[in-house]
Amino acid sequence: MNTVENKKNVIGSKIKRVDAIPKVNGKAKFAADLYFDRMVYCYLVLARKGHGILKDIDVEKALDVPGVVGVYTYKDIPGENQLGEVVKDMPCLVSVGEKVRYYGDVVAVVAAETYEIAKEAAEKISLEIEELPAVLTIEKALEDKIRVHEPTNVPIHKKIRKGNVEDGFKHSDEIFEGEFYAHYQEQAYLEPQGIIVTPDIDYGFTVYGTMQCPYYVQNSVARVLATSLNRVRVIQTETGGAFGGKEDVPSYVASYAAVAAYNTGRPAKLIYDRETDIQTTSKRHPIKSHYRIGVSKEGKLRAVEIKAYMDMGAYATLSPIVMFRTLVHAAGSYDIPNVKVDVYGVYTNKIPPGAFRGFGSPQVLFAVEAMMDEISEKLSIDPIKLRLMNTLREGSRTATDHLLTESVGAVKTLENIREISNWEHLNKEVEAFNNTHQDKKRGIGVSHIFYGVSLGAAGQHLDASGSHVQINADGTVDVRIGGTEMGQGAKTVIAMIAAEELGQHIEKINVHQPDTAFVPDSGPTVASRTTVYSGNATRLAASELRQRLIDVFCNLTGALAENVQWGNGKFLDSLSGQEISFENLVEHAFRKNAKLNETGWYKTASLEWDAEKGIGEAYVTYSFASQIVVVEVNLNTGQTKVVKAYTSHDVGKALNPEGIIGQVQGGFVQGMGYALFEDLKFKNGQILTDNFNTYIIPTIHEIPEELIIDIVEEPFSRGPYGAKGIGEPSLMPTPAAIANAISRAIGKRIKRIPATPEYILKLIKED
Amino acid sequence: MGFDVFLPESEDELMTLLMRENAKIMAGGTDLLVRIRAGRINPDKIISLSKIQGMNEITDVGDRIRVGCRVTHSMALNSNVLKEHSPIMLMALKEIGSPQIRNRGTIVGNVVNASPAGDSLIPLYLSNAKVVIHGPKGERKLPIEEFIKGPGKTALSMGEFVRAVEFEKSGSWHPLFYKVGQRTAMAIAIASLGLLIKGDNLRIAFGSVAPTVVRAYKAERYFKRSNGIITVMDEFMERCLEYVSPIDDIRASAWYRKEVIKNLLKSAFDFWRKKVL
Amino acid sequence: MIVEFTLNGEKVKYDVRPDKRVLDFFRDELGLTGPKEACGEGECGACTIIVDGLNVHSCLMLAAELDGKDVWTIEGLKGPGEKLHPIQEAFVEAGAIQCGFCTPGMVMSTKVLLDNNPSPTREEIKKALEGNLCRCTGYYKIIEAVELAAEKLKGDG
Repeated sequence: MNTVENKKNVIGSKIKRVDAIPKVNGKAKFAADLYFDRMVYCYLVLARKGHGILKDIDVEKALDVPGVVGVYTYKDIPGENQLGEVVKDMPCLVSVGEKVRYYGDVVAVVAAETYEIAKEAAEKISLEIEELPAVLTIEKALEDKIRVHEPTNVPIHKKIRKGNVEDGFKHSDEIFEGEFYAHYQEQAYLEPQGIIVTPDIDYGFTVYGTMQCPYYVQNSVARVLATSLNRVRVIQTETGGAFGGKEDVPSYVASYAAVAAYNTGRPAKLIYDRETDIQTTSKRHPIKSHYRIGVSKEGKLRAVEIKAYMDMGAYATLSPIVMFRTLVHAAGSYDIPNVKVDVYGVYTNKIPPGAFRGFGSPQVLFAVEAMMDEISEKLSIDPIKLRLMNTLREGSRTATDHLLTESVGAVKTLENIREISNWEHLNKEVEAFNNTHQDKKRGIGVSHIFYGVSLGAAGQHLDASGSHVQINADGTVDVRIGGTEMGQGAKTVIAMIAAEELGQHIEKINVHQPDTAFVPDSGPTVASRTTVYSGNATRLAASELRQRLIDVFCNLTGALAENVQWGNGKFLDSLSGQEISFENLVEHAFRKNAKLNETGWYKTASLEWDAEKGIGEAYVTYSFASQIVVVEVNLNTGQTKVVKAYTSHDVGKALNPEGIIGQVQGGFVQGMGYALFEDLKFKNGQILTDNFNTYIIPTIHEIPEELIIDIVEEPFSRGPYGAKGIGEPSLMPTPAAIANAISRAIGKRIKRIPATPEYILKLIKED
Repeated sequence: MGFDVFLPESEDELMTLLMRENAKIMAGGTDLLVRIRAGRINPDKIISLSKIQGMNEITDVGDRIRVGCRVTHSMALNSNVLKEHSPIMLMALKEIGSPQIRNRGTIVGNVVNASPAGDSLIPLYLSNAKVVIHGPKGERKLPIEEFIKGPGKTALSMGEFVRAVEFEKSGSWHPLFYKVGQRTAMAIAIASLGLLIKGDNLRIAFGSVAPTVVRAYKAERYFKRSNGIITVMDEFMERCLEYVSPIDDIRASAWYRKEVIKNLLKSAFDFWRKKVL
Repeated sequence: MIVEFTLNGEKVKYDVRPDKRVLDFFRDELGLTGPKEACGEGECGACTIIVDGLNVHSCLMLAAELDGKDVWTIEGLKGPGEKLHPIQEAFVEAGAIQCGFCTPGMVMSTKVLLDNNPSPTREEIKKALEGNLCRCTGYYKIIEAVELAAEKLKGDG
């Protein structure tokens, strides 16, 4: 389907968010804001040991607490005691006789009349655990002596074999090497995880909660309760941020709550406190990587060899598909003839990481961009010029040998940041600053990235989405999609698409909270895919309905279909000037029993992919971005301040420009926190930084004074109106750009993120 | 979980309540309620000061200033007495938490919590503060260094409470205050440094690098002996570092804390040298 | 115990458990779910309410302390008629809302700022909102919203 056309109604214009009013007047209902009659409150009992065998669970004292309704363990699960999206290797509730694999393993669910009672009772449950030595580092896991799971701690290996790297290195003038480490990052969505499961009037269960993927939740609850999908209905509540952290995790939260609802026969509410949330839910994976890059003396990349190890924690869950993204993005946004990449997934007795904005790519994009910066410094080639020389263009082939034929805005983003930053002048300005300051030094960092849109070759079976559009007798429109709003603006962009296609005013369009009862399984809301998938599905349904309205219009007015225009709440015969309001037209259509509801279904053509060699079409398309960041490092304390930043993003087509700017600003600041101070600390596998007084995220003071955003539009022919995704690419270039800027400021290479003040001060002191 | 709450309306009532076992006084609750939630303390009685009249004085008492136990950080920040006579206190208070915390938290609360990272303690140590204690035997005053005995430990006895804190005016001294946290704002101090300088007189205190906030007296005397001109930085530094005995914790390592203190001292004196010359 | 106070402009009287957090009392018993809990320890500002003209954390205040106070939650903030308050309008217009979880707290802190300082500088805005964390917006549009709100309020006066 070719969807690139010029549209005139609302696409591309400045629109107020459709969900803003209930959010600003306090009426929006987030998970914790729902209350049900006779509801029980739940609290989880965690193993609180890194590795061991669960010998006994003593619940007596908990049951004695007045107000406790029940304590539920593995014995009380009616269905499969098995969780884990993608890899099902995680128990719902650890059974006696089985292994505890990390501190946050869940052993029991307490249900009580109040939250306080549930929490108090949970603290009274004593667990007997025979401790085993714990595997707490990637190095220890690779020894494979103590095993987290049998038969090995290193169960997953993904690779790319393109060209011949040995040949490539032979024909290189210079070879660069580097080792990098990117640490965990916590999503730190403001709204903690939360689910309510309630027995419903369809003799099944309805699940309400904060989530990205209602269909994952539906599947998980059905399995754990040994019931069928048509007995589990999932409705997403307003979701207070997710960033990937609500991709698979809500399936687990819902499963615990479902066990309580099933056993009590009452609505069960499980809202995590921040400590439980940080202690038990997914993070960005830590990745250790080793890079070797061969270049010609002019700076042309000849060969790259990469080895990366990612810490999957105690359970693999989503890791294999996160690793796929690591694999594809490891060599960066460059055209390199010879590529060899090996990515290994490693089990440890720690928190299982999963999805986080960028999904395994920021860690390696940081590394490859640090290598590019190093090459630029050592070969004295301007960092933007070096990237321009090697970046992807139409006709280039990616690291997986994917031939790019359209929508490649890479060069433009590089040229644009050079222009908007006033590059030459900026360099002089920084030099002048450094000449006049002793205790503080500034540095300029550049980064350039690409990002595969949607799930790609590793998740093709999920890459389809539905949208149900219904026009009501009063001219209002209901739109129901399977993709979720979590703050990113999905509802607004979908309402814009429906308004565009139907010609109705956007205020008359209600994009509902996703509900599995209305829309078929539409896959997850991840991978920056909602605009493309739910957007296209909505477009299909709405344009079908418009055709029917045009027929009615022509019947009434005698107009020819090709002369009919729509927009601003009316239909118009451009020839005669006759117009009918949307409401009026709908009234006529209803009188004629016209079918004014439609389900759109959008899927992409299958991608060619050779998993053995890692060669082929990894993703349907790619977004591109380039960034320049100026930092100031305090040499006395190692503290870094981001002074200003310039960023350019190729989004295909900006459907909602205000929304995109909001995404880029938020992504930048989240990436900045990752680069500088968000540092997860552990002791024996227990996370010590489990609330916001110790896990430090950016406040309003840390944002750069200037963040200049440029949008490039290189249309993607299969995206709605040419659009690609922006949700994740907004963060991707930032950690790399900041790390490079610090390296330039202090004259030492940053090889670890977060580059905390302590790490930077150590580098400064080293000889 | 769960505790009784008392809201005395007079000092007498407060004193009577204080004779009960396992009772804690709450002023703003910004620290106490956090510690209760974390399970670090478990009092069964909370005595809230919210209904007591008065005790929120900021008064000029000759060469000293007196701050009552119900004075919040926000009240202090708006006080003309403090603005004029204790700029160092204002510098420190601005660094505390957020408006929400400053609106509820109190200076005396900082004193009683006895945290080595308490931001307002540095100016109090530098201003030779005395802690005014009321108890069954009447009033007594203790220098802050004797009152604070260790992290979270004070010289308060059963039935006593801190009525106020009194400290020297320092309007004629040049104040310097540095705080290093994990991020630039709203952070708990990893290391902090406060100085008051007037001619060849120096007062210097460190936060977060020892079990309590500390004054580096030997360094102060060295400064005086050198007539306020430090020629050998190392000798001065050595006398400072005698007081610095940091630990590794969740926020930073001992190495980092020490290194930062050294660097901050150097830049403070570079700054001072340039200013004097 | 009985507490009498003014809530969103109306005199009210309740029998409360004195050690309940104001946040829980408002949410669980009064159905005022505008104040949110995201940390429970005074770090994030999502539970911010206004007490006697000052913004405070409702997670760090006990129900017993409500007695005699003038208390406002986001639910009480309204413009003329049933319209949004100018601060709320400004947040909507400036695009300062994404997931919306921090929004009630942000708006309440903004209210206190603008009540005391009708023309704040950028630095003053940052100082006033430093206790309100937002993970979505990167704060830029929130700053714009506060500036826009200041304009709107001046226009009204």
